[in-house]
Amino acid sequence: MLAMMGILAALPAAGQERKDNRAVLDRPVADFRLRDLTKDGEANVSLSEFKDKKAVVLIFTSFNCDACLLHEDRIRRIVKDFAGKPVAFLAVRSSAEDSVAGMRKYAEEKKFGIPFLDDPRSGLAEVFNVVVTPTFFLIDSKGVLRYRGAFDDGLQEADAKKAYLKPAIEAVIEGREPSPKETRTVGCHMPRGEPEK
Amino acid sequence: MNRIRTIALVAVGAFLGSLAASGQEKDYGKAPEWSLDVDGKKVSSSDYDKKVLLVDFWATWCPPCRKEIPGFIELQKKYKDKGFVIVGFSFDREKETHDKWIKEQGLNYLSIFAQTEEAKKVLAKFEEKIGPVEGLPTTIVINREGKIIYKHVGYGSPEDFEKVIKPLL
Repeated sequence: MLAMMGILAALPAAGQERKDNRAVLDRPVADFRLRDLTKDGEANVSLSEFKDKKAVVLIFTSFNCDACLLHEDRIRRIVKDFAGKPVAFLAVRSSAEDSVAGMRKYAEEKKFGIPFLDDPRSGLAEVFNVVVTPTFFLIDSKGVLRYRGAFDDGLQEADAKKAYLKPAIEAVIEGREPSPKETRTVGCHMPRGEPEK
Repeated sequence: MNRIRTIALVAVGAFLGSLAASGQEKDYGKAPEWSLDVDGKKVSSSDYDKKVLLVDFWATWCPPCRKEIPGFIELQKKYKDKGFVIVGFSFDREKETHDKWIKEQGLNYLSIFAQTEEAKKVLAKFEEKIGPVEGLPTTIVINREGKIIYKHVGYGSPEDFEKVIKPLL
C-alpha cells in the first residue's frame, strides 16, 4: 500500500507528460498487473509471472477497429504456431472506444485462446506509447522490450510480403536480436481514457 | 524477468483523456508540392493555392475516420465560398471499396485513393513535414500561404476543425 501511495503521489498533474515508465526498446519494461477480462472475478495477470517464458507478446487491439479485425486469423495462427513453446501472448484492451463487456464478447466469440487484459484507463497504452491498433510488442525473458510494431507489412494478409513479428519471436527464443526491432504500424488511432460503458 | 520494476498502472488515465484525440497548432513548414493523376484527371497542390486546405488521411476501414466524414461534408458546404477546400487521402486497400463508400456517403470534396505508388510518394512528402502518418484519421490544415499549421490525430468533431479553419478564412 505504501508503494502504491508513492506511485500515486508521483502521478503527473493534468497536461504534464509522464515519461519515467515509458517502455523503450532494448531496455527492461516495467511490470504490470491487469485483470483478464475473459474471466470472472479478480483474475489478474502480471508480466512477471511469465518468468519461465522466453518471449511475451503484447497485442494492443480493438474490436472497433477494422484493421484489428483483419489481423484475427493471423493472431490465431501465430498463437497456434507457438503452442507448446515458451511464448505467451496477451491481448490488451486499452481503447476508450471499447467497452469491457464488448471486448469480452469479442474475445469469446473469436476464440483466440489467449488472455485479454483490461487496461482500464489506458495506463499500459501510455507506458508503451500505443498510438494505433493493432500494435505488437515483444518482451524477452529478462523483461527487455525487443520489438515493437506491426505483425507484417500488410494490412490484409494477402498483401503481406514480409513477416515481422514471427521472425522476431523466433530470434528472441534463440537469443538473437530481432531485425528489424521496430516497424511502422498503420491502423486505427487509439483513443485513451475510460472505456465506453 | 528479474530486472523488472514493478509499477501500478492505476489512476494514470484520468489525464490521458486529453490525449485521446489530440490536435496541435504549430508551424510544420511549407506544404509539399505534388501532382497526381486521379481517374484520368491531373490534380495538383497548385490547384489549392491561396485556399485554406484541410487534408484528411483516412480509410473506410477506420471507424473514427468514417465518423468524421459527415462533419467534413458539412464544413465543406458551409465554407466552400470562403476559399475552404478538403482533400482526402485514403489508405484503403482497394480502390473499388473507397470509390463505392464515398459515393454512398455523398462526399462533396475530393478523396484520392492513396495506395498507388505515385500517391505513396506524395504521402511520403507530407510525412517529411508532419511525421509518420500511422494512426488514422490524421488531419492537417494548410493556410492560404501554403504552410501546414495544424495536425490532429484521431477523431475530431466539426467544431474542433472549425475553430482552426475559421480564423484562416
